[in-house]
Amino acid sequence: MIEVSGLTKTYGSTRAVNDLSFEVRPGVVTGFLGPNGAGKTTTMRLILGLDRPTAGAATIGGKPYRRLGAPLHTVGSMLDAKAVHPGRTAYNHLLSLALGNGIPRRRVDEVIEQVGLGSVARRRTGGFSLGMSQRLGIAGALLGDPQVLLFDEPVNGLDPEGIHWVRSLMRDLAARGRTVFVSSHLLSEMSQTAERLIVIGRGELIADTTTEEFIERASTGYVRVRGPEPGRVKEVLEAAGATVAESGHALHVTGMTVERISDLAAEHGLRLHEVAPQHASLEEAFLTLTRQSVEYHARSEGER
Amino acid sequence: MTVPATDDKVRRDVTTPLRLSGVVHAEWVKIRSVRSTYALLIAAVVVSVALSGLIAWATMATWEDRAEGFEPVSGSLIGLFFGQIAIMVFSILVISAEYTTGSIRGTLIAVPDRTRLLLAKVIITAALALAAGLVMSFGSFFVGQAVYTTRGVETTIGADGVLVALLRGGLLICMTGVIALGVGFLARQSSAAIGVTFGIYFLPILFSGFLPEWFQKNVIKYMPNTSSAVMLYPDPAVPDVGVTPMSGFLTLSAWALAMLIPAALLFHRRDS
Repeated sequence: MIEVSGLTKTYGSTRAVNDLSFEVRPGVVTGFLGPNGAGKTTTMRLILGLDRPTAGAATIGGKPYRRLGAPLHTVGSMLDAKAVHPGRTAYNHLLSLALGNGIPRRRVDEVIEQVGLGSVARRRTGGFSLGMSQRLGIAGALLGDPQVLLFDEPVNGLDPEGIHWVRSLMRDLAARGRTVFVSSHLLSEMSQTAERLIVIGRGELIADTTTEEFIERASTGYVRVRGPEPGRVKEVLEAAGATVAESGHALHVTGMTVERISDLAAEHGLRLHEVAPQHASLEEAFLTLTRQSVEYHARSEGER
Repeated sequence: MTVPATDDKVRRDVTTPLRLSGVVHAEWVKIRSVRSTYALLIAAVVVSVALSGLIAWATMATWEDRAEGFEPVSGSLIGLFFGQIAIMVFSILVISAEYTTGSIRGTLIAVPDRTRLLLAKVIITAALALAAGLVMSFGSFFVGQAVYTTRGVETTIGADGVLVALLRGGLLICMTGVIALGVGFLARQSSAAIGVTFGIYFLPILFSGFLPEWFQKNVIKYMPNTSSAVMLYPDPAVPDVGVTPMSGFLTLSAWALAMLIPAALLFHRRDS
């Protein structure tokens, strides 16, 4: 079990993670979802003791990572798959990780076979494709046959066959009662593997729920409303119980039908130039939910 | 492709302590599995022995000017000061290459105990630098003496204090490695660490001619190069420069600690 409580990390004046609290339970795949720059990698680095939190704490089975004896037996992780010495062979890379944790050599051969790198084990990793590096990273995570697994964007750079392999690996590990925590910026990817979701944006928790529930919430359509007095329209619709988000010159209204919006506008003498129902795709819906929290949401790029 | 056939039988007791010997072994695998690092050790030996021989030959060729104050042991080991440059770079790379390639993150995930990791790197670096240093020292000595026979001014390994001086030659190269590793941990970047280490070792030599006498007397004698040079003389022949081989060794140890203690403290505090 991974426990994160009040976790905060500031780099200079940037607050990468802000008072984040959640639990990751064993037996299911838990997705860690958020747009790029939301603080997913930072959170994982804090859980793994690479960075020191500004406030709060992250523990694994009740212990901070830095206090785990031989950690690879407890936690397996893959962060940046390309962060290996390019001059070292895959076998030697894994061997050096194994030796420090008292893991036998035969286990190195086992994980190499398991991730399908048998034919390139004696090659320098500098010549590896991103997909091969991802497999090497996953091999490193599996070395100590740990109870807890963390993967940062594990399907990046994989071909369809590799993606399928990673997905079934995650599900299989979870089915064996392991705690599996996987980050991604794609809701569609998470909907394939994760049973639960921790969703963050701008370093803050947005949702901690089941994937099913989150998708249901995210997939509801909205109504796009445009008019010369968006401020007043917003007030009126909100007063009537709708949720209104501003998006450039338009308003995105949820929880209210097109008919009701038009009627309300007419009652208050408000002119509208557009009242159009929108059926968001999964990804669009996710973006809407996390929009306010996308850190580098560039205004100059504008809305469509 | 199928998913793990392994199961709970492989899993170890989660309380397995992280053993220092395992971490040292892991560090050894890292060094021997990358060409650039062990190539530097070989370069250190080759450069030392070759230059020591060359300098011995030049000394014999200009014997009339060199005869006064000639000391056949330290005189045959001058190449060590060139070979030690490769040892410095080697030792710095033991840590800085991890930061350049990003592999430090994987290393710290496997060994989160910073003190133990630093200690393991010190042990393996010191051991390899000592081994290389002894080959550099003994190799240079024998090549040098062979050249000195042309004028019959050679000495033997059995002569008073010679063996100890040669062992000290290996030891000072070992200390150079540890000091440079400490700078590498502090700087984390190869170029900066090499610059600082070269500064500590070679700037005093460049400036010594311009500086006032009190500086020579009170500061220069505490610089690593001065300490190292004295260690190469057999005890009966140590020149009177206010430094003995023992005080020289203690000075080098102080330099090593002055680098390693802040390095260890910062290693715990800094983000990786």
